[in-house]
Amino acid sequence: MNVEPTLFVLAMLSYLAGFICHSLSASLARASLYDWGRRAVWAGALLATGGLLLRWNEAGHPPLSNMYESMVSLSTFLAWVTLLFTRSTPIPLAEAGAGVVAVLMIGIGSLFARDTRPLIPALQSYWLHLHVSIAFLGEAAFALSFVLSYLFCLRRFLEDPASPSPGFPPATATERLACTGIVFGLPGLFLLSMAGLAWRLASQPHPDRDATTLVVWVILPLAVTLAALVAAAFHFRGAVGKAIERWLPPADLLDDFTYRAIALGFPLFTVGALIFGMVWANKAWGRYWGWDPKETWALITFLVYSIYLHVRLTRGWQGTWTAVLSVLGFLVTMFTLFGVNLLLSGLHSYATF
Amino acid sequence: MRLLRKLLVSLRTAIILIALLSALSVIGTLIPQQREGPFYLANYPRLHPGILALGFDDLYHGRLFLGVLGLLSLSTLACTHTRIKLTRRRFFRRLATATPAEIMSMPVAQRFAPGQVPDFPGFGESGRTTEDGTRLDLRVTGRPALLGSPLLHLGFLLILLGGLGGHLFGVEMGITGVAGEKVAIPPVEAVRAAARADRLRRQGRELQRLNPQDPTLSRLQQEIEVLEAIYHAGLASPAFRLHFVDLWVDYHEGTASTATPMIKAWNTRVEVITADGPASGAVLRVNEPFSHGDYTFYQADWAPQYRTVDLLVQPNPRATAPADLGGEPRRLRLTLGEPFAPAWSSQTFLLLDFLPDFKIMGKQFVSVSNNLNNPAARIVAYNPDGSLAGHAWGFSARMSEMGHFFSDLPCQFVVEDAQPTFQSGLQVCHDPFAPLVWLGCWIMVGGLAMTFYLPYFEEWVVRRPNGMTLIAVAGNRPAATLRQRLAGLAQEVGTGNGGSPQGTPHARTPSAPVAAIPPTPPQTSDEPPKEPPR
Repeated sequence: MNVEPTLFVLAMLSYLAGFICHSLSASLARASLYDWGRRAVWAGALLATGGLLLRWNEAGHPPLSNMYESMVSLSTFLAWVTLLFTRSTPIPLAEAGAGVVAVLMIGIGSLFARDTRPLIPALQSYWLHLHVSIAFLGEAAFALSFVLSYLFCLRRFLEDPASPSPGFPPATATERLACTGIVFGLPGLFLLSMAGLAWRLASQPHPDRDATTLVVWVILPLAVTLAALVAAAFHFRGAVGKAIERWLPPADLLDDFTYRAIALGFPLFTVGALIFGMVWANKAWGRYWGWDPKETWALITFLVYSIYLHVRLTRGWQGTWTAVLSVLGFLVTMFTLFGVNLLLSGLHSYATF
Repeated sequence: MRLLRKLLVSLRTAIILIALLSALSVIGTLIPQQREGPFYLANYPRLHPGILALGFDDLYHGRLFLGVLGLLSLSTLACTHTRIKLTRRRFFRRLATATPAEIMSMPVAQRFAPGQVPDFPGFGESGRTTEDGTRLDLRVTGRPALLGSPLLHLGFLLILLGGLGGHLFGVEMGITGVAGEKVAIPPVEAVRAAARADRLRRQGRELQRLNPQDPTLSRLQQEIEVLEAIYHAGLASPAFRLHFVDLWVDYHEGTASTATPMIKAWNTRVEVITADGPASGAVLRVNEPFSHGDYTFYQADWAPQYRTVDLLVQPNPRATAPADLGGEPRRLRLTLGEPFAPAWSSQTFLLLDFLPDFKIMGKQFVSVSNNLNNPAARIVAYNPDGSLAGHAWGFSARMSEMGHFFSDLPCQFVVEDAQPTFQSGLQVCHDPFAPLVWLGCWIMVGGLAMTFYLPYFEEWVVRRPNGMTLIAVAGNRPAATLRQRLAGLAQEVGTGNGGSPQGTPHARTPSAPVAAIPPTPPQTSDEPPKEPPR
């Protein structure tokens, strides 16, 4: 019996349970709920890791060779990175957000072919293990930084300009506009991208991929949930405003942890995606750099996070604009992972399906 | 000169250049690169003049992109130089250059009133007393972390320089061969000349399209001829010859005989033949290159070539006088380019062309893949006197009726089978600057690890002449870690934790997490300048 898909479904359910417990612990301030949420995420991460190891054993190569395996691996790395980051400093809503991202990653990954196949000649190299796994570790840290930055922007968007978060000046009109754009624009952008993916899947019928699944299981539930959340937040805006302090982590903590996640992810991504990628490309294709779209977008990701680190470490920037840069960096990361494979043709096209 | 240096060291300049480089890179991935002018005219009817004028058709080798990359390299060079100076001062003369004001402004610090702290003996190293009588004591741990940032920038710079060197002096070419073939490998200079001639030819075509009378065209033509002469001279006296000894495919276990065999490896056994005879050899596979002399060879391409085709010959019902084949269809095996006269016919047949997966595009017959999906063979027949008898296209059995319409011979042909022979494509490269790139990569990895993962702490004890004491901790760790270190320092100097802290640790519960203060960057300058050096 093939147990590994069951393990991934159970992992997804555990992440969902973790999300619910963490969200409730943030809103009800119950430490016991937080502990249960953490146990659920631990269980999810262990189940997913078990599933990946089984798949590795079955296929004879690490589960990093197609989009499905990549997304499940990335979501598992995200769960572990989140558990590591919050081991001594609980940030319930960030942990809840990371759980949602992990679930979405597995959900989107399951749209692609799930069968195990022998590796094509280009992928038969130990550099596959090093290049992809280390790059994914970095991307998992970027995903966590994205969740933290989103929460930072949400906090700045919700807080009263007259009493800003300690350590931060009142948000300017431009900052508020940027925060509003991120708070509402990102879910919109995500739904739009998913609609685009559904359209693409529908226009290119394939036995392993079904657009209906995406519409029924991702787009519709997410659109309804988001609409309900926005309506509820608007209806109870007074109560929401008062409860910010209880629900959302302090702005300085979010800002600091965003930096820490990027400081962890940046070297991993640089070494894994760029440097090991160069070494492997040189070994397989005879040149370390060829301006292939995937290479170029990995470089763009590196450059965006370089800007973040330069303005943060040298200029001392903190707050909304570094959060915006962190969000932008993650969007570029996701485009490098998804957009390049689905929209642009290049030497990495084998990684799509 | 000073203004230029200031401009290059400026963080703002670097950010603008990085952003510009990112934007140009994005454009390069959206517009297909290195196509001919008509492609852009057809696909970007409105934008194509701009694309060609700005060089976006070959963006990564164009002046704009290389200019930005060059400026970023200069900026990184200037910044690396500044960083090395700052690091040297911080590494060797931290205590000598620090000011009490700087230490007192550190975010993780604690002040004590006179008499609250017993006499502190120092850290076992000599401290320093400033002109106003303030005593400074410093303990540094993890000093190598300071080297991280300069190394990171130095590594990046070396990679850029190596890339530039590779672009200017490296060569790349593709060769193909079938089993038994010996391919001449010209010297590096000849290949470089050929690549340069190709670039000039492309440039010439664009110029000619814009202005056929352009006076630079003749100069380009002359230059191309000189370069081609160098290339042909190289071909005439090659560095060595590469003998394609054997070519074969390995399949994954159990898939070789299935409908979709899964390829495990394409193998090309090669042997280098120099003027003195066979020199060296290897089996080339993807991810397993082979080097000889100035070149490294990579398995890059693999295609079946169909040279021998089995045909069924039948009378053509549309011909005015269909061939008399004795009531039975005849079988014929033809090899590309080799005339064959069967005993049952007075005519000689020649296989001119074979398309394994043919499609009709416009008025042309083309093959869309190398897979034997929909074969088509073009045959020409000659009479015994050597005159042309006619042409015919033969198709697979399921499309045999088409053969009636594409034959002006008394017979028609059906393609029964075709035997593939493999053709291996190798990428041949020479990049004398690659070692510089790998050195840069190693240095960059070291720099990244030192900057982001190696902990660095400065622990300060400042005693004012008025008896006031200040302890402070700075470093590249999170504020919570610095505060823990501060508490330890407070214990060490014998105060407990009873002073008036500047950064107070909070209780850690899910609803009240730590309010962290961001860590101090490891490269802060002594006096924060308006535009700090990177």
